[in-house]
Amino acid sequence: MDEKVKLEIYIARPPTSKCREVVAVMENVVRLYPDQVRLVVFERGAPWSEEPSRALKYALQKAATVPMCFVAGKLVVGGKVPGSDEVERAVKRALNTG
Amino acid sequence: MNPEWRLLQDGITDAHHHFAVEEALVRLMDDGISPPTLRLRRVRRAVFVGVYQDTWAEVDVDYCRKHGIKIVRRANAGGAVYHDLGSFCYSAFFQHKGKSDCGTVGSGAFFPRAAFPQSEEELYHVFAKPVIRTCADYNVMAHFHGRNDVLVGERKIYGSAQIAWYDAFVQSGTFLVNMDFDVMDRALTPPALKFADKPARSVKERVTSLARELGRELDTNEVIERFAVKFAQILGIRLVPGELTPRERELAGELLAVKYGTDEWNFGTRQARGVTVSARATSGVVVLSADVEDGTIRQARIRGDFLVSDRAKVGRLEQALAGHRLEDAQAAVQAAELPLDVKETLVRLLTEVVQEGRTGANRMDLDQ
Repeated sequence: MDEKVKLEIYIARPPTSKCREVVAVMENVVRLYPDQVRLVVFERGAPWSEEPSRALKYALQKAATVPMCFVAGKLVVGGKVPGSDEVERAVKRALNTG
Repeated sequence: MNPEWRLLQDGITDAHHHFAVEEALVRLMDDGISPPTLRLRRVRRAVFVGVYQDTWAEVDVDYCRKHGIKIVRRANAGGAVYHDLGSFCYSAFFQHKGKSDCGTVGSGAFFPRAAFPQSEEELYHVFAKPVIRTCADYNVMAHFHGRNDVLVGERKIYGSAQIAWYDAFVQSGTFLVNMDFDVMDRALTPPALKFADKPARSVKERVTSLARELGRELDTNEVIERFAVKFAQILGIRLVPGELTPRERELAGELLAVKYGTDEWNFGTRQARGVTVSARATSGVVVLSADVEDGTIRQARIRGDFLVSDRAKVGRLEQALAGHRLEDAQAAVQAAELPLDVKETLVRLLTEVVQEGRTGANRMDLDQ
């Protein structure tokens, strides 16, 4: 399970309609890459029961942006609903380099 | 003609309600409903905890409860701060992308982020200027310091934070005018490490107020008025007094009820995460999304392109998983009327969703 590429999203709490769009985009990417990726949703202000990536922590220190989408510890999209193609490109890169 | 912003002084002094209004405004600004707004407000005695701080570590909760000091987790990062009616905060709400023209209050138009060509870092400087010039009115020489503070000498008199929320942007700041430093010192219990690289040894030593610098009490409202005038001058806008709209009030009420008025939010009692994983079964791809709270599945969704004779069977399994820990959830899967390979895959995915990622740390101090 450890080899899976980790997708992380940071959304509002309670989620807005745009946050739900973000979740839907990312969940669809999970569906496209069975056994290869894992998505964790972090809600702003909610305690973590799973450690965020260093990149997500760093982003929180530098910029309070909602939403943020990370793939394999790298920021892919911030401040908007991501396009599925943007996320998929990052996933493919991570799978190829992993 | 300079663009108009709404000047909002809603008189809400309850700390929980105050933050509910703040979030309602940013949400409705993002939706393109609220106009660009400068909100000025004073809050009754309260401690604002940073969004990722541990309330119990940063605040003397017993003291606060005994003395009627409210505790609220705010929407942005940074350290815990004490507030009372002697000081004031401002928030500037505007859109920062997507819309092109400056508009007028009430027209549903927008003050675009493009109107501020500065980077977000530079915006901290821009929004600090009204504070520095207001201090100068009282012959107090203040200067910008670090990333987002204003100091008098080595003591902080103003701190600020930003939130970028989809198409909306909020710049907020707190200006210490009159402050009960003794109460502040009792209410806050920051770890000693926080002062390791600073000359001060306590919050009381580290901060100051306009009144402390002048050696006399000030009329906070007078300072607020001066600040507003300088704010408009520096940003090149006209401030038009306005009120919260019914929709803003309604949303603020909802956020107060489900978020800012709850211990779950203010004390961080809920450790939940949403996880989505997928795997390929013989029948097709199986996708499991689950909200897990302290090892218990609160909600689960099962999707994919596997074939089932009756979708209702999946729905019944989703309901059966809710409220169960791993072993019981796996038993529910085994009992479900689904293809064997789908059930085997779900059992594996459940293990992954519930067990992975358990760590001790669940907060961090993002001190801006």
